Amino acid sequence: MFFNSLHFAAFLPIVFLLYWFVFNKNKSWQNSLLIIASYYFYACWDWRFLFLLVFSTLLDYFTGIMIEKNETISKRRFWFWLSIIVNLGFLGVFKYYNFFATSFTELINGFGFQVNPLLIKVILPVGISFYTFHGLSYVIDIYYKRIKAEYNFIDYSLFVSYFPLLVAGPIERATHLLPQVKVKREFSFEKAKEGVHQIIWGLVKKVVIADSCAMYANEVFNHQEDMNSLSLVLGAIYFAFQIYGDFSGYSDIALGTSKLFGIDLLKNFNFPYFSRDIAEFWRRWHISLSSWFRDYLYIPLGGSKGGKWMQVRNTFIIFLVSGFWHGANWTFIAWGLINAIYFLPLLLLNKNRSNLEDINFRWNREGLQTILHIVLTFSITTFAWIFFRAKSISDALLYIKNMFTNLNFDVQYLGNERYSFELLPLVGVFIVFEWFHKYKTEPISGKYENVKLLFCIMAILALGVFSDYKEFIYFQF
Amino acid sequence: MQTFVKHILKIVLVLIVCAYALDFGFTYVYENATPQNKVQYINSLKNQKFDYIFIGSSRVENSVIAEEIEKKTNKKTINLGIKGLKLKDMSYIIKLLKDYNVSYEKLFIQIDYSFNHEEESSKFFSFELLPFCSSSNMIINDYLKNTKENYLFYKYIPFLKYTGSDQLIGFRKVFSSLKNKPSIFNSNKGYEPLYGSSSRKLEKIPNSANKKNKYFSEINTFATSENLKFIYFSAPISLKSENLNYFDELKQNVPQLHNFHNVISEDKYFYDKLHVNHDGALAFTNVLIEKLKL
Repeated sequence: MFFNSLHFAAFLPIVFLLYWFVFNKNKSWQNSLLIIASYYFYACWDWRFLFLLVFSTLLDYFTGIMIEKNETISKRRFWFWLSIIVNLGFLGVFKYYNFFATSFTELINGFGFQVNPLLIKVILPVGISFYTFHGLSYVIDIYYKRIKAEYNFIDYSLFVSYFPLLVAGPIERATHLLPQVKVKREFSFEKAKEGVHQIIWGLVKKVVIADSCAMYANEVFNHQEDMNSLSLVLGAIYFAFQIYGDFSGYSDIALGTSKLFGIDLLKNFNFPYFSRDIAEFWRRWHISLSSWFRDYLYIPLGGSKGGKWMQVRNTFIIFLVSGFWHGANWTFIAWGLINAIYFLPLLLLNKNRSNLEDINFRWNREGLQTILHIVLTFSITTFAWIFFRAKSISDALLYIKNMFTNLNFDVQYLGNERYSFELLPLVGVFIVFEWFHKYKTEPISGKYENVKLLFCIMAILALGVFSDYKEFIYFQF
Repeated sequence: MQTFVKHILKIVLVLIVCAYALDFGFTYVYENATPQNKVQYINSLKNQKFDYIFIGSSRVENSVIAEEIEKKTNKKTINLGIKGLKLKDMSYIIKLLKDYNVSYEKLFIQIDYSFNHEEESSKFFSFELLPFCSSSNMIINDYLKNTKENYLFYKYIPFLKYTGSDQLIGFRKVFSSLKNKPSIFNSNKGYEPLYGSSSRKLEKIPNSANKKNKYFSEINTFATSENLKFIYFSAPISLKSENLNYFDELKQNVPQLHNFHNVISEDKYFYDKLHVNHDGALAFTNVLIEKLKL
C-alpha cells in the first residue's frame, strides 16, 4: 500500500474515524487499533513477512527486559549481543547475503579459480532496515542505561510497527516515541490540520516533483550512451530532485499522517539543498539516520575524541556504513566514500560545524557568497548521486566520463518524447517555493493558506504523475 | 473535531471544484486547439476529402510518407497510423471517419502480427480518446466501453481520465495545444519519422498466424455495405527477425493482402527490427507507389 494510492486514501480515513470515535476510550484501545492497522498496512505488501516483524518485536521486547533485569555484566552482555547478532543477522541474510556471495566469488575467480556463487532467492522484506534500526536503538539504549525497558507489550509493539514510519522511517527513538504512545492522545485541531497540510505538501513533492523528475532521469540514466553533456548534467539534477522529492515527500506524508493520530515523529529533512557545506547537508538530509549513526556508531567508536586521525577514521566508517545501509551494491559504498571525501577538508580545517545557524539571506556580498556555497554544495551532492543512481560503478564512471568529454550542449529529444530541458521551470518553481518557506514545517500555512492549498491541489491534479503508482525509492532500503 | 471536519470538507470541496474546472478546461482545449495527438488530428479532419488514407500501427505511422505520395501522384493523402493500433481499434476508426464525414477514394489498412491479437487494443488510441468520452458520440462511447475497464469512472468522475493517463493526455499536451505549438501531424500529414537506429527490445512475431480475426471480418463487411475500397498491406520488417514465415501464413489466411514485409532488406533502412527509419520510409513509400499503382 503506497501513500499515494487510492488504497491508502481509503485506509487512512477509516483508521482515523475508528481511532477517534470508536477506540478512543483509553490509550490501550488506541494503541491496539494502531497495531492492527499497522499489521494490515504491512501485510498489504507481503503477509508472509509479518512473522519477521513480529519476531523482531518479540526479540527486542524480551532482550530489553532481560538486559534490564540482569545485573551481572556478563548476562547483560549476553542478552545485548543476542539481540544485536540476531537483528543484524536477519538484515545480513535478507539484504546482504547475495552481495557478499557474489563479491566473494568474483574475488576468488579473480585469482583464476572458477567458482559459482551460492545465491539464495529471497525477496527483501519492505522496511527491514528501518524497523531493525528501531529495535537496535532501543536495546542499545537499555544496555547503556539511557532508558528503562518497556514492559507493556502493546506499547512496545506500536513503537516498532507504527504504520506511518514502518516502511521508510523516520527512524524513531524510544526516548521520543514511547512516551507519546504511553499516554492517551487527545484530539488537537491545530495538530490535525497541520498533519493534513503536510500530507498534501508531501504528495506535491512525490507525485509532482519526484515522479516527473523520474521520467526524465530514468530516460537519461537508462540510455546514457546516447546522451550528450547537457542531458547528462540535467539527468543528474533531475535525479537529485527525484530522490529529494520522493524521500522527503514520503517523510512529510508519514509525519502528517502521524499527527492525525496525535503523535509527533522526528523531522527527517530540513531543506538539505540549501546547505552551505556538506557537513550542513548531512545535518539536514535523512536526519533520523544521520543522527542514528552518530549516536550508535560514531560516538561509540570514539567520536571526535582521540585526535584527528581517529576523527577521520570514524568519519569514513560512518559514511561507508551509511552507504552500505542503503543497499547491497558497490555503487552505494562508492557514494558513501565520495561523501566522506567531501567531508574530509571540513574536518581537517575544523569547519564541519561552521554553518549551524539558519540562513539569514540579504542581497549583499555575503548573501551572494551564501548562494555560491549553496550552489557548490548542491553540485557536489548531485555529482555523488550519480553513483547512487547508476546500476554499477562502471556505469557511473562512464556517465561521468561522457558528461565531461562529450561537450555537446544541444537540447536533446529524449526517448520519452520530451525535450531534456523541459522540466527545469517546474524544478525552478519548486526551489523558489521551498526557499520562501524554509523556516516552516509545512508551507500550506500562514497568510495565504487557502490560496496555497488551492494551488497545491491544482498542482497534484494537473501536474501529478499517476499513470502507475511509482514506488517510493526508500522502500527498497 | 467539528472544526476539523469542516476543514476537511472545505478541502474536499476545493478538490471537487478543481477537478471539475480542470476537466472542463482540458476537454475544451482537446476539442478545440491545435492537435497534439492522432485522435485530436482525426477529430480535426471533419468534412474533408482525401484520395488515400493509410491506417495501422506505428509501422505505418513511421513508414508511410504522405507528402511523398502527394508529390509523386498528386493525390491528397494522410497517414493515420497510431502506435500499437490493432484491428479492433481500426474498425472503430473507420466508423469514426464515416461519422465525421471524412470521405476517401481508397483506404489502406496495415495488417501483420496484430492479426493474432483479436481483443487487444492500442493504449495510445484508447487513452487519447478519453477526453472525448463525455461527448454523446456513440462510436467513441461504444469503443471505450469495450476497451476501458473503468470506463464509467472515467466518464463520470471529473478529471479522472486525465490523471489516469497523464503521460499521454496530461498537462504537457494541453500546454502544447494552448501554445498552438505546430504539431508533427499537421506538418507531416500524420507521418512521424524515426532517425538513426535503436536496439530497443520489441514484441516477437508469433509462430503462426490465426485463421481469422472478427474485427477484420467486421471491417470487410463494413467496406461491402458502404461500398468502400479497402486495400490490405503489411509493412516492412527486418529480415533478421524470427518467425518470418508468419507472413506467408497470413497471406494464405488473408488472400487479398499485399505482403510487403520483405521489400526492404538492408539494415541501414531500419530503426529497429520492426520499424524503418526515415530513409527506409522513403524507400518503402516509393515501393507502395509502384506496387499499388497509386
